[in-house]
Amino acid sequence: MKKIALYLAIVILLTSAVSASFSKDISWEKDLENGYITTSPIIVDEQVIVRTSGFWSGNDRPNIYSFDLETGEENWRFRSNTSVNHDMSPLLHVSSSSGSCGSWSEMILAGWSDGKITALRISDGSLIWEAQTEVEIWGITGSMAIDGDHLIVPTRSGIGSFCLADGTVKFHTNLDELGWRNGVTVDAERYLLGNENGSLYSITNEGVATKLHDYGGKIRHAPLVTNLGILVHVQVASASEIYLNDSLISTEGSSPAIPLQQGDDIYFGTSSHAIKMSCSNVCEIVGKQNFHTNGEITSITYKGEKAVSFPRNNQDGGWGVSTFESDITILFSEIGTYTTAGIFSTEDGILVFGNDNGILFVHGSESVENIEEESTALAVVIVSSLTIIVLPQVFKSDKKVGKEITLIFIVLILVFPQFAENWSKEVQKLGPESTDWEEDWPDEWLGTQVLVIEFENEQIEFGGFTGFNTVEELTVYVTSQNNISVVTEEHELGRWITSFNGEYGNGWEFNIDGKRSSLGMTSASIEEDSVVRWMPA
Amino acid sequence: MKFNTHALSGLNMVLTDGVHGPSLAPTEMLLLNVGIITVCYALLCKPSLGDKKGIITLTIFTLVAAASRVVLEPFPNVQPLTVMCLLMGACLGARRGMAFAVMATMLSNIILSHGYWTIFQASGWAFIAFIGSKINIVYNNELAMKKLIISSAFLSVLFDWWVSLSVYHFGMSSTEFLIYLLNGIPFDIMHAMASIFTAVWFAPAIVKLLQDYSTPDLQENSVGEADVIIA
Repeated sequence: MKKIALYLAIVILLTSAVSASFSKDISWEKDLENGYITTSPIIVDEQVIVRTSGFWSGNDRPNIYSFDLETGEENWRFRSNTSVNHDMSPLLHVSSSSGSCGSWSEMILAGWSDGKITALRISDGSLIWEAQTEVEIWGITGSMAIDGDHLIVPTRSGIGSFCLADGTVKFHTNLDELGWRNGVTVDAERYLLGNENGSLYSITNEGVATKLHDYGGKIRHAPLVTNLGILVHVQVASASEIYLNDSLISTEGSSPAIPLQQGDDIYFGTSSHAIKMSCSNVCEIVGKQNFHTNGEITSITYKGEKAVSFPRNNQDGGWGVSTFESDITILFSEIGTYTTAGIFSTEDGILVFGNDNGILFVHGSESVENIEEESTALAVVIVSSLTIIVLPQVFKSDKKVGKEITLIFIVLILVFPQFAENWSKEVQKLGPESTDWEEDWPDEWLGTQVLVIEFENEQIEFGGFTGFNTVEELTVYVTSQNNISVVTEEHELGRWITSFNGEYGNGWEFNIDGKRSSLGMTSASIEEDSVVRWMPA
Repeated sequence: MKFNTHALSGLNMVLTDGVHGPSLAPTEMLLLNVGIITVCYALLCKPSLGDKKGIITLTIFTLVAAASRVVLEPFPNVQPLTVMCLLMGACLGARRGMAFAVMATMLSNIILSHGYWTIFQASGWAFIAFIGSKINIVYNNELAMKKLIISSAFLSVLFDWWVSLSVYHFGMSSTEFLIYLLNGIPFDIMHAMASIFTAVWFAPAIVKLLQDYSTPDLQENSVGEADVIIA
């Protein structure tokens, strides 16, 4: 029994070391060569998703990118062909769910400076829906928010509510005052929104707006709701003012940052200071450190502890990290350029951030790096070697067979990750590659061309075809064989279908394998296993 | 969520993450834990509730089994619990073996995460314990190593496929499920190999431990016991 206990203790100790070495130890950077990064990247499962920003000319346009968290390999990108100004509205991740206006899949929502809202499928970046809001030089620049099954959007001159399922507008209220980086806050049964006139509005979820306060400066963040009232940090000439409801509680430096609220603690920033305010019984400043910060203040996990990060917006660059219990710590100043985007952090300390040079960085926490320097393979070899030595000393067994089994077991552990990955890739080839496959379709359709037409009240689908090269060829053949009437129109960009079986609507559009084609049906080529889906525009 | 049986794709998913299906709500999880563990503990210890030595031995063994899943979680699908269940069934009978299997699953999943897959895992290991009680792995106090190795490898793969059914309920076509099973073959091999490793090195000691520390009460009806509980 003592030998067994001793052995268990040794194995637990050693396997714990191996266990720790499996922790994510990630560090890579990627020059996007696509303008600036002015809003925080986000991590969703194993994806790092980031958007770029800039004034665009020629063929350059902003993108939303997805990279593999571990390897940095690009998964997908979505390019806006129409946005030519800075895009600073933070990306919004929404999990799949449903509500009274419909159901939706997991997606990334983005507001653009050309007034568009795009909902992108998280798996491949394809467009699920888009909506258009008003543009007055700029469109959307502030942070959007979710209220149940609706997306609440601070538009250029008002506020809108859009169904998450399909982007249909519930309401749009024009406030006749322009906003800039003016995020919206969802409070109980109302939305709060400030703007460049210093007006603070309360809007009901039916779109009825009431002006609450007029601060006479610029509100460039989502208003903060505390148990003592609404806090706003107002930009005024050469300074800034912090208000609780209509009471001025502090005058601070210029160019306020986008504040962060954590319970009763509020973090502000200016060109002069990083500030901590507590609003438990009364709102008062409890910490202030010299720092130049004007961008997104975020909460991060650093060295295993919760802290607050402030992007340093001067040529020294980097981020200040503070708990306000000691001096502010400067991180990543070696990057050395202006930074306004906040750091995104996972619970286990993976940091993702980008700077005004458009370089994206992903960094494991220092505690992980310092403690675990050995490679996983090395740790496994050490543990396994010790196991071979220790096991025969502890247990009476067939030592020859035991050693052979142990050797095979160790080799299997070492080669397993690569083996499993390669195996998985091969197995995936056996399945349908189309992302638009429906499970109730017959297996005979696998690997063939499928055509789907979504009418208003029904969906008809035809499969098992081969040899068609374009969407038009397949569509014309299938419809003619099945007595489906088609009306087309000739346009400069090619032939369009305006109706199937007399259903006109606003025209018809198609997807190939779940993705919208950038070409017309005459030019859009299809594979031998493509799914072409026609739906009303 | 943690992942121990089959992976969908990708290296990191292979090692740590995966999708089993929706998790249970905290209240449901608490009720499930407390209720099942209490019943199983009684079934495990009965009829030797007055025998402290036997109860302590079984309790510690169950905790070690649960801890082994947690500690070895970074190794893909290395599950010593499979062999432990076989041996518990063989040494102490179907009822105690199955109770042990369910308890070890429930306790370890408190850390590894609960969900519908817990039902499949618990029932899978309970079934293995039941099989262990029927196939005379330990006969006349002798361990039939060859039989143990073959049965543990076979049951490891069978267990993986059974647990994979927990995913099948959530909108998968039969083709997708087949691909999912094929994807998991490296994990099945790993499970089988780990079970052989556990059997070769640990089974003699486990059998000796259970025989040495089990009381006459616990030993009675240990071979060929027929009473079955539903996991």
